Amino acid sequence: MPVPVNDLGYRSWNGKLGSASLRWLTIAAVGIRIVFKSQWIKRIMFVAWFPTLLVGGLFFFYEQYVENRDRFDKVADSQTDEGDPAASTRWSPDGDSVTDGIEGYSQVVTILQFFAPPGEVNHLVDAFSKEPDAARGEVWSFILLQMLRRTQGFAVLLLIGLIAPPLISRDIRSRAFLFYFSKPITRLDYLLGKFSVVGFYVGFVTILPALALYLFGVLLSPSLSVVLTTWDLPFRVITACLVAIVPSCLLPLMISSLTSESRFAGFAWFMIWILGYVGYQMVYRIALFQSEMQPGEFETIWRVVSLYDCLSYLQSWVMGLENNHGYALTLLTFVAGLSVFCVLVIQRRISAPLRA
Amino acid sequence: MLYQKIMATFAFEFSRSLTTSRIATSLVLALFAPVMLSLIGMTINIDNTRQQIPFPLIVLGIFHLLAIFLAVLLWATPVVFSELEAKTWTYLAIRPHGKLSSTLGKYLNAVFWATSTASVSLTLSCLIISRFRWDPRQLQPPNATSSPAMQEWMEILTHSSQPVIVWYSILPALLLGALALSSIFIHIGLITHKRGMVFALIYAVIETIFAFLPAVVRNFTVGYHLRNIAMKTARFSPPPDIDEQVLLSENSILFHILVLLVITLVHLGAAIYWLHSREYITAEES
Amino acid sequence: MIEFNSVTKFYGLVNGVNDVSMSLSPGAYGLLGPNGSGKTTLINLITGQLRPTIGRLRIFGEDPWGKEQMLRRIGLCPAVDVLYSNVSAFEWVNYQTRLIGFDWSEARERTHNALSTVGMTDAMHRKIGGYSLGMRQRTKLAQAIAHEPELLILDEPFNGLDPIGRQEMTELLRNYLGKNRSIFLASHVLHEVEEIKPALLLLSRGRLLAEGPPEEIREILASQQTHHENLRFGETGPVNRGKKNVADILIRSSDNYLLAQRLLAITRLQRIQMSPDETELTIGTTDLPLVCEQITRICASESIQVFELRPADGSLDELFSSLMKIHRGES
Repeated sequence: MPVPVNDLGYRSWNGKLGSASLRWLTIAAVGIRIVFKSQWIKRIMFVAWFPTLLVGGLFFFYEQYVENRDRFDKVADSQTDEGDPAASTRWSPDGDSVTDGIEGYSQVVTILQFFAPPGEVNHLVDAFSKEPDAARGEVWSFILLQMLRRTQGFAVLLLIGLIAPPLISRDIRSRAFLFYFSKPITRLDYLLGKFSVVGFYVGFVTILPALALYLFGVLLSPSLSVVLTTWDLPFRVITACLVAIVPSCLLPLMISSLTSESRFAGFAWFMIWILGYVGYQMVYRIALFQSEMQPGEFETIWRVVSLYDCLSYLQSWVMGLENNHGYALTLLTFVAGLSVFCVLVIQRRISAPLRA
Repeated sequence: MLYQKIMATFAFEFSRSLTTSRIATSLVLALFAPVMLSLIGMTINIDNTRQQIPFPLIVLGIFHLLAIFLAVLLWATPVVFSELEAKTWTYLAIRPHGKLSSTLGKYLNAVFWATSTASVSLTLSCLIISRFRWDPRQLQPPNATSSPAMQEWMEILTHSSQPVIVWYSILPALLLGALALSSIFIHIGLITHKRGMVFALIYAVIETIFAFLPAVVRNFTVGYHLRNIAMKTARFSPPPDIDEQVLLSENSILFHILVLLVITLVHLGAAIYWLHSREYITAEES
Repeated sequence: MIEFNSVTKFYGLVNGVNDVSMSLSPGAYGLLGPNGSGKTTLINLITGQLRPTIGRLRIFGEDPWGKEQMLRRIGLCPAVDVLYSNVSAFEWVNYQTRLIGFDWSEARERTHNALSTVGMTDAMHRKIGGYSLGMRQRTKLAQAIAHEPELLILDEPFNGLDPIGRQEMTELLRNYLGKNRSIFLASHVLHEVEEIKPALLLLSRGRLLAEGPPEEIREILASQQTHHENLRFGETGPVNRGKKNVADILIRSSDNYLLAQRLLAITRLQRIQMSPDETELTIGTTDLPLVCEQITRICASESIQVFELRPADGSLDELFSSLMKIHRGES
């Protein structure tokens, strides 16, 4: 009986292949699906949207205030025309003013105080009490930035701490690179796919709520002409979020690629943020205490010690709330350098099993 | 018998701990406070008269509590999860009292590493601050007339800011902090497994907030008792215009030590109960 | 020694072990079953790592859950690999032995003996990370036997071993049995388990399908295959011969070449294969009774001595399939 000899050679695929430039999407989609199975991720994402409601309320009260203020101005103007001198004093920093009585004002101030320290809030209150329409762009930018920095910042820290550490370390542990790279995908596809997994979830709790709030603000405003004065805000929001997302996602992925035990990656991620933040805050506070400088005047290169403070400053700069361009560009160069470094390390680490 | 097993685990875990990555992590934690103090020295070196660290007891207390927290986060939180992740839990679980002795041995290892890392850091930090000139009178405006109460507080501040006093005031707090936080984080790690670090972090944030609330809840926090132990050992008190009870309690140091030991035992007991009542093989497979 | 009384174990909604009842006295037992059949769950129940959802379980007369002292009498060599890469076999086995409760010097002595028994003396001070799979298997076995347990439980001990390693492992286990100890060996490969002559326990989908000596199990298989062949030929004729219709048998004889030649001349075979070392002949046939009859005739006429004749490994699936049918009342 003749022994059957089977053709075990490579069989070319006759079907239609997807675009090579979109193969990373497969890695990303699978990763996103796997991560979404975690109940804790769903819970954190759900809770991370809560502050949006609060900020949405702030938008609502602000626009209510603007509208009431317009009505008040018309009445006041008519009173001034009739010779009432008291109507010209609409706001004073002590808060005991006519403006306090306008509906929406006190709610806006209360919510702002919840998000930011009094020093930062006073300046803004001053601006929108005088010219609420003109200050809208600044107020909206400030509100969105505070949300991104504070509540969303903590949510992002936790989300990345849950998602990123095992993403590459697990592949190192299970030697999954051999499976990945036996397919026609490049190392860059792999990196892009993994980056997108983290980026998707971070974007979901940062970019999406911020854009939704902008839309909400526009819908609540007195007229669509608001868009003309705030058209740049969505672009600024997206850029500000990307400035934070890129290094914040690449850094834990780099750490993940350096170990096969995900707990070390998780620990290193939290350690970098906590030590950096506490260290910088301590330097910052002591420097202010010693030198009697104002908070905004302390612009030292040591800010790079704390990734949180560094990215916060850059986000603030992108949103148009900081204007020391030279300092911002220095920090941006550092962040860009860090991101490139992370990419190079990851590329090298994921190539290691192939070189061996 | 159990003691021997615990010590066997401690010895084994200690030898396993001597890897480059773990030693490097400990070095980062040990050098964090000294580097930060040097950085502060460089940053605030505006003129020589102002080169100083204000309230060294508080600054070093915060830095070293952080070092203890991070060290314990790394060493204590994943004691069971690390074995489950490496699939080596079965080997420990099939020994008589293996689960208990390995967990307690790892607990000792966590306390050892956290305490030694923080002690090295504290010693280096005290050496650094001894080089700074500290004059509490600079806290006041140059032409201010000090009240007797303020004068007295300046004396207290001067005493509690001496590097040696800072060193021996913070050191026992570090040991007790490592004992208590390790037991809490082991407990958290046993319940939450691979998400242990995230939950330990959330716990730390909540604890920090509660420790500063002038309410009953602060008695259940580790930070509050550590603060009392360190400040009372250094005989530090807040400025006369601040109510002392906002920061400190009326109880003795011994009371705070006892409370911390009770917290430690309660959490260790709960962790041991959890360890024996849960099927970890199921957790590994799920 | 081991008593299961209607033991069922659920993992949430998944059934790990389903209504298992058995009573095993000291001796050697081979737990056979496909992957996912519940072998590891059964072992975890025996070692007290899992608590039965329903039913009663006794090991050495005691409920193993929470009876930690009982674990002194048990040695377990789990299927999972040792992943402490930066410690040596000696350090690890010594640590495991100390956890049993031996003092420092006795633990060292026992560790030395155990590693020597498994042939790891030369490499015992090297880091485990640099070991081959076979060395890690032997290290795992050393930690299980260092305290000389009454009952040695092994979960897939032959995984990843080369033929020489398998032979050595078999020898080790036979020697261990010779010291009046019990072995409980879980595997999904029939002939590996058979080498140590155990009573077989056949587990599938969490249920104990059959228990008994290998000969009895083989009888079931042979009778089922014959029965199936008859049914197939009766229903569809010889044209419909799918892969499942072919039964493989393995023969070791004094002249495998001559036997193969004669068989091919008189019988239609689906396949015939000689092992690389030419000691085993594997025959695939759709007519097992006829081929067995022919083999008997050829051996008698050509004076060929048959040392072994048994279903090949692949027949284990057939065996389980047959037993499942018996359980469902289909045959």
